[in-house]
Amino acid sequence: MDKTFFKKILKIILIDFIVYGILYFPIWWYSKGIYKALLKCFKIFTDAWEGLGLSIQVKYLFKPMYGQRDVTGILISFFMRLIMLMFKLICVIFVFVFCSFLFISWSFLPIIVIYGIIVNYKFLLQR
Amino acid sequence: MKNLEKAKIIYCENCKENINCSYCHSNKYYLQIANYSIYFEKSFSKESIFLDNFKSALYVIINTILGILGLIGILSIFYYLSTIYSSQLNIFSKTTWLDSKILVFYFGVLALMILFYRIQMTSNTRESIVNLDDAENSKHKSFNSYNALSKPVKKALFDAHYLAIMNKQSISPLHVLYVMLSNLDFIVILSRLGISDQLLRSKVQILLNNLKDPGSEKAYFLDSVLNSYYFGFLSKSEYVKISHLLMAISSVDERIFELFFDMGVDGNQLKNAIAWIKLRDDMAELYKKYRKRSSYKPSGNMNRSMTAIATPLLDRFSSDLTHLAKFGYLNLIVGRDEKIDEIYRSIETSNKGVLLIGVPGVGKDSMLEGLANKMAAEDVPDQFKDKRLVSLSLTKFVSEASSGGNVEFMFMKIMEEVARSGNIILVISDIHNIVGVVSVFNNNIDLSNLLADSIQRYGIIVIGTTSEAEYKKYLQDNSLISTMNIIDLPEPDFNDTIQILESRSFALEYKHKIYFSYQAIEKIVKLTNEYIHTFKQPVKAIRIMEEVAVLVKSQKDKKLVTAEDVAKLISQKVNIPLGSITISESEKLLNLEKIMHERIIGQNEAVNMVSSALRRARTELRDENKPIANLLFLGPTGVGKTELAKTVTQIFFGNENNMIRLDMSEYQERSSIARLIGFEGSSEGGMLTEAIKKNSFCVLLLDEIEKAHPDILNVFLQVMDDGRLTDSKGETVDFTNCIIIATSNAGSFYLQDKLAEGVNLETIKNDLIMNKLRDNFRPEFLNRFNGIILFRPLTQKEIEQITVLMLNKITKRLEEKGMFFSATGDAIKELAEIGFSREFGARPLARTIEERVNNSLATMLLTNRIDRRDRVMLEKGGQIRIEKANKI
Repeated sequence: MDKTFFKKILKIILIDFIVYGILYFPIWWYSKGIYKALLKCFKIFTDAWEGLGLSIQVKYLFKPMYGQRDVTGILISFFMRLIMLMFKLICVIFVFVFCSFLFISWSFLPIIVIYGIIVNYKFLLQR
Repeated sequence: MKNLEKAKIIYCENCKENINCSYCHSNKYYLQIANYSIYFEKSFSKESIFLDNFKSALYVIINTILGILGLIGILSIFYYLSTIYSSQLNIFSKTTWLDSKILVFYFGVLALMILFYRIQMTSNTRESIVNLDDAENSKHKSFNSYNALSKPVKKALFDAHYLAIMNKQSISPLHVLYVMLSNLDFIVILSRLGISDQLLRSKVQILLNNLKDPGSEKAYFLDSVLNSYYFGFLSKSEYVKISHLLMAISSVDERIFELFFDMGVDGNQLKNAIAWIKLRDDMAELYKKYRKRSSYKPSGNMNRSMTAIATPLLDRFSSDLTHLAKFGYLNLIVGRDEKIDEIYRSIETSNKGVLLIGVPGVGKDSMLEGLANKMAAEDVPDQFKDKRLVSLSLTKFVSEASSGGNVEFMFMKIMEEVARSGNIILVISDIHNIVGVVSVFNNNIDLSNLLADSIQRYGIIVIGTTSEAEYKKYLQDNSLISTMNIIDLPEPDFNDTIQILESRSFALEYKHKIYFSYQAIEKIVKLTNEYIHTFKQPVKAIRIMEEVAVLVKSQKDKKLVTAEDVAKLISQKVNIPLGSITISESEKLLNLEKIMHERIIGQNEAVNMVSSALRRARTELRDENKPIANLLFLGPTGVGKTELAKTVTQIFFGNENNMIRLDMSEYQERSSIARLIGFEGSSEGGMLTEAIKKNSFCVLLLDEIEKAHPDILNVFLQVMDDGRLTDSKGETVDFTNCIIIATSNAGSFYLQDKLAEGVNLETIKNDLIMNKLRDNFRPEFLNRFNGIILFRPLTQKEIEQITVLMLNKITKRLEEKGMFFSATGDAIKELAEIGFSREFGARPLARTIEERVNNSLATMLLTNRIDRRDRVMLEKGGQIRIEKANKI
């Protein structure tokens, strides 16, 4: 085993594990990581939007339901659709809030954790 | 031998192993894909392998530690929460959340975050294989192909190098093949190809002991790795997979290709077997996608926009295909995307419906199932979104509605429902059945007109299916056609049919717990194309596939469906031998002459020629676009022409009844062509074409061909040339599985005269063909025969032998009654003399035996003069002597 071999081992430990394995972590978290988190939250939101068929509800707001084209039918349909739209909107808003919470959690998680560690550590030192 | 086409790997001459070479990065070889150059850089020295192993071990250790820390953190918070609960601490107090356990928890969360980051990072280190668009449209770049290798491929390369180091050899593609034998995907491919992995391993081991010089082996290896990238690129895969590596090593290394070829697998088969594995993955993905996306589809009649109305009447007579698709009841289809796109285009660009025309079995209904799957997943253009594909059952509708006598009224009601609902695309299979449907007691217009009217007035989208023949018969001149665009569905070609079968194989394999080899699938398509003409592809192939699956399942300890199983099944169905030739059969084939001579006396030339034709046919060396053999038997009456034809039928097609016999003296008029191929405009087919359609594995015997009208001879000229004939209905009838035997007496007198003059038989034959037969047949007609066989008149000795054969039949019949029969030599001689005539050959012999032997025997049997165990002896002068058996 020559010197270069140990150099290589050292390089693996230093660069691959210390630098890329741990030190690069905060940079990744707030660059690629945050972008991925944003995409994921957006996906959850769009899935919910599509699942609830909100675009369809908006598009057909003035179209009578069940082919009832008389005045009463049109009116009932309109209000019924309005109520459904509102209900679905509430659901979507709920999902939006949930997604935002997820995204904010991602953004603040390292700060919270580091803060928690420091505060607790200080507290333990004081004891 | 058909090998796979590999990419040309470029030897980088300019860089002189310059580390900054922008093409090969000092790796000597590279692959050029448009503007990108792909090189392979990875050290596999002992040291590098050690370092790599060290790295991966360290990676696992650190991740495990992080995981344990995370777990401890979570456990500690739970423990602390329980402490808070039991000691009833104030959870709102700040000091409650300051504790050593909380600190452990925070560390645990941090550890889990780092673990997550590390896993994400490693999954991102791979680069995808480049795509052609990028490669063509961007500036020159170079990529290390190692980064695009999937994990199993990397492992295989490492293991191969390790093996080479252990064996103190230079790395070669053979090492790669050897270590790939422990990869599961590879073993699946091998079992699909019917190759035993153990046998392959032992053969590779032998090759590994005889490696070439290290330089060329290393070059082969690099060529293989770069080519695996190329095959991955061709199949638009994201990463280089084991299958790509397999294709690469077998295309680069001649030894590996020959190894596979030796085990019965060529390049095309290898490629298709690999494509099958890819198809499995693609279909699993498609299935998941459909299941996920179709969960948004409403399961009832209502669309998502709730504009639809209930359609109670329609529901009574229909089934909702999108509904079935939503719950995964319909088959996923492959290879019909283009045709489905054509349906979209057709409906989007005009307000007309679509009429799918295709022969039965071509997959019209499957295509609609594919459309239903796409609609359920909303993977369709806007006009098809949020709609139901509903299939109206005409038979159910007509049978129920006609009993009430108001078919038209109910039909219009259904159409109104469809129109008002607005979310229905109506499918009417076999739409031709709608033509001419009217109520019994009303003089109303038929349903096809009502449908045409509804399409025009309400803009209903209708997709109908029909066959070509029915279209011509019922729809061509119908008003319905003006409201529909026609889309033709052709029969899928060889490779497409294989792909369809492969896509169907998974469900069958799962159901019957068997699996198909690639050769079995290929054989199904090949043999159904050749031998089954009642249906079209892919239905006929799918049916055989289902049958063979059940057949193999019923055999104990058998799981693999092989080409041999398929050949056996089809062979049973069509009643001709198809599988690989067994020893007993090959013995039989080699001794055909001997077997034929058990029935045919003399005529050696004829028997030899026919035997050769049969051997060619059985070993599949014949031209498959022509009949098995076209033979012309020339010779006087009663020399054994028809008998030889019967013998051929018996031997090759298993039964004398598989013979279609046409007496050509009945076809002396030109107009009699119609009797052969059917009358124009009539629904009844011709005598010949219908018989062949019913049984295309037969001997077609054309008796006294010289008497047929020259135009009829032209019909047969085409049959002998192309192996097919179009009948009056426009259907093509296949003659490629027939043996055509024409017999003729033309030139018989000439033959007899010349033989009497002592002229050689060969000379007579040449003279006959060159001169005498010209009066009866055109030279091009004679040229179509594989063999013109001259039957010479029988000699006295041969007549005697025939007499023995005929008397043997009597012996057999009497034996069944428990009596023994024999004839003295003199009696046989006498019978032969009486039964032979120069003019009619051996023909009078049968009558003579009947009169002189059978009649007397019948009388004796009726008068009870012969009992069981008695010996009956025929003597000269037609005398019958009875030797009474001892009484018991």
